[in-house]
Order: sequence, then structure tokens, then C-alpha cells
Amino acid sequence: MYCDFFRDQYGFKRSYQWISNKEYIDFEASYSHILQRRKLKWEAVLNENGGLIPSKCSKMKRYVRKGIPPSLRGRVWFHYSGAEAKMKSHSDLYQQLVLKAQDPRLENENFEVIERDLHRTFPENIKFKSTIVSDDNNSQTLSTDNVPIIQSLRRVLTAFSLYSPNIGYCQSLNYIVGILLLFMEEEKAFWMLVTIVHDYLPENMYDVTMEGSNVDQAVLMSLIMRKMPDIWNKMNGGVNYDIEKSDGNMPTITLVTSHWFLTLYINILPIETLLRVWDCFF
Amino acid sequence: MSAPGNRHNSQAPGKLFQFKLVLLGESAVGKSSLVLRFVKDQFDDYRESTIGAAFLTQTIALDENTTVKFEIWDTAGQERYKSLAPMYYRNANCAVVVYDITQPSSLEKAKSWVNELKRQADPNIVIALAGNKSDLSERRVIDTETAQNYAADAGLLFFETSAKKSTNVNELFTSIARKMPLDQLAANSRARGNNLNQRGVDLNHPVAQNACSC
Repeated sequence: MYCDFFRDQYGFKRSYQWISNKEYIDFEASYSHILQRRKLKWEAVLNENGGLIPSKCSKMKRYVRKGIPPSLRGRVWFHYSGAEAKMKSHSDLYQQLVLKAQDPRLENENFEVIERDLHRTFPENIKFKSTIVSDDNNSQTLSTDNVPIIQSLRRVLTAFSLYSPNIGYCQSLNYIVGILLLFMEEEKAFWMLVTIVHDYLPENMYDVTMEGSNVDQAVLMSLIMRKMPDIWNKMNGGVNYDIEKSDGNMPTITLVTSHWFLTLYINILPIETLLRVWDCFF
Repeated sequence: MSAPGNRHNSQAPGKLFQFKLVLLGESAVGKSSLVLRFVKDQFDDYRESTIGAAFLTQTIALDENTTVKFEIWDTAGQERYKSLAPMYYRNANCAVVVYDITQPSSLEKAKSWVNELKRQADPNIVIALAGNKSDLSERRVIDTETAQNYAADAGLLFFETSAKKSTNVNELFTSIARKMPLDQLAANSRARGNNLNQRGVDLNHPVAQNACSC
């Protein structure tokens, strides 16, 4: 497991804004035992099942809730989410989309927007970090041209923009694919993205209306209003919010919470917490 | 970090004015970088793209007696996030509309933001146009005069800035502060009997009373 003072095992820079180095060390010391135990348990269950992931059952649900070991995470997400079945029934589609996206005659406004976000996806992560290259004049610039995961990110996002033309590309998808690529190869990441966007999330989450994001916000706001009235009063000055008459005048705090749902908590929750949430999600 | 002379001094006496400022502009023109330079005096070559919006504050002392606190809403630039924009500029006192001097389309987008603000936002909103990335002079496609003439016609403050080289960033925010009708606001707040100081919740100072009991 590669991790040090500066980076965690996923290549992210540690943040010391809220947590001291000692707290990291203490957490990892206790958590690594848990991870090791989970790993053995998972290996045992796979062995019993001839190396295959068992079908959904209450035991596996409990296993997932307790955390999927990082080494199996990609495989388990891919299987339980239904992305594996999707990929099997469309075996050549991803390659075709990638080829189509590379056709220089194809004009697609999304490509430019995607291009602008490639080097702005986890630029602090060691696997996404740009490298210094020298050009013909020997001047050195930062570039992502030689970073394999960025090339994968480009292919997945452009292929997806062709697969779902109503969505094309929406900022936040770059982060979702970025996390997926840390745990699986790109064709699987593509089918995971398709599954997340089309099967898991509300409709119209990422299209030009972003209506799905408003739906999520409205649900969160009405939950807070009902379940946590004190917090609600602080947030909205005591004004009740009528979900039925939603006219876009949601509390100001939704400007911040929209991020939670659009990126499925990426860059909001600490990475270990995020992965545990995603474990339950799929 | 050496703080520029006009940065916040928490002991500053006199009046404190608080303003909501919103940043708008096409994606990747450098909105977040301008804010990061202004608030933390930092710069990253590669910055994560903003999703939804980010919120920061910065306080500047205009003179011995006047301090201005900006509540800054930094927004996502992609076109489709535009439907969220009215929430950002609702009740905004000032706006910085940013374009990238190396991207011709970004000035057009900036102009459409200015029009939208003039139509929809508070009629007294102070708008500044910022042509960012002025350090990339060899890739410049929008000349200073074109943008300056447009800004003058539209009644906007105008600066060419470089978040990277820290050029004109403090100047931009300071001149917005100076353009705010401070005397009038002071009179209004006295008349209403409420102090602008007391708006909002200061996360750095836990509130003893009124704290929620959850």
C-alpha cells in the first residue's frame, strides 16, 4: 500500500486543514487492521463461490456496508451496479464510440469543454498530475499529454458525450469518471458512468436543464425542514419552503449543496468516507 | 505570506461594510484563480473546475475608518449551470464578469452576462469587467482597447488582470469597493437602525446564544 505524509494510497494529497498528521496516522493504524480483516473475509467468500462475486443477498449487503477492500472495489462496483451486464450486452460499443470521437470530421462542441476540464480534474492527485515537458524551443511547460489516466478520461468523456447526446458533457462527470478510473479500466468506467447517470440518478441530472439536480435539492431541503427544524430556521430565516410550489427560490445554501449531488460527494467527503458511501450506493 | 498593505486588519476601527459579490464568466477563464489570489494570495497552475459555487470572504481596509468585507460567490462557468445563476446574483451588490484575453468567445459570453445582470439583477449593482490571463500576452486575441471601449460604453469598471502574476487583482477589488455608494449605505443602515456588521453568521466565532440544540 503506497502512502506517505503527503499522499494517501489513492494518490490524493492529504489535507491538513482540519486533521493533524498524528490523527491520520492513528486513523490509518486502526483502519488498516479493519481493511485487512475485511480483505480476508471477502477473499474467503469469493473462494467459496468459485472466485466469482456472489449474487445479491443479505450477507453480501452486510459485507458491502462494512466496506469493500480497495483491491476488489472496482470489480465489485462494476458487478453489483449492473454495469457488467450492460457491457456484456454491448460488447463493441465503447470501442466504436472511441473511434467515432477520434474522427476529425466530427464537430462536437462538447469536446472543447471536455478538453478544458481534463487538466482540472484532481490536478493534485499523483496519477492525474501534469508532467513537465520541453517543447521545441526548450521551454518547459506543464502538460497532461503524457499522463495515461488523463487520456483515458478524455476517451471515456468524449465517448459518453456521443452515447448520450442529450447530456453531452456536464462538469462533474469528469470527477465521477476520475474516481472510477482509479479503480477500473476505462471501458468498465464508461459503462459504470452510463449506469450511474441513466439508472441510478434522477432523470435530467446533467442535461441542459439540470432539473434532476433541483429535484435532489428540493428533497434535501424538505427533509431538513421536516426533520431538523432548528437548522432549517437558521438557514432560511424561518420561511417555510413549499416543495409543491418550487419556483426556483430555494435557500441560498443550495448553491453549495448542489455540488454534493452532482459529484456524488466527490471533493466534499474525505476519500475513505466517499468510497464507503459509493460502496453502499452500488 | 506577506500580506499586501490594504489587507484586513482585524483591529481596524471605524465602519465595516459588507457586500455580496458574484463572479461570472465562461468556464476556465480564471474566476476561481482570481478569488484565490485575492483571498489567499495563492495561485495554482491547474485548479479544479468549480461545481455549483464556492463561497469565500475577504476584507479590505479602504482607509483608516472604512473597512469593506466581500462575501464572494464564485460560480461554475459551464453554460448549463447558468440556470442556477439567478440564485447567485440575487441581492448581489457587485459583480465581476471575467473573460480570458486569449479566448475570443469568452468576451462574448462576458457581454451576455453583463446584459443579463442589467436586466435581472439589482439596478444599483456595480459591475467590473476583468480580462484575465494578461500574462499570456503572446497568445492574446482580445486587445485592450476593444474591451475597454465596450466597458466604458456599458458603464463598467475595467481591468486586465493576471491571477498568476498577481497583476491588478487587488486593484480590481479595491476599486469595486471604492465605487460602492458607502455614504448612502451608511445613512440607510443608520435610518433602518440595523448595522451591516451584524448580517450573516461568522463561522469563526461560535455563537453562544441562539445556538441550535441538536
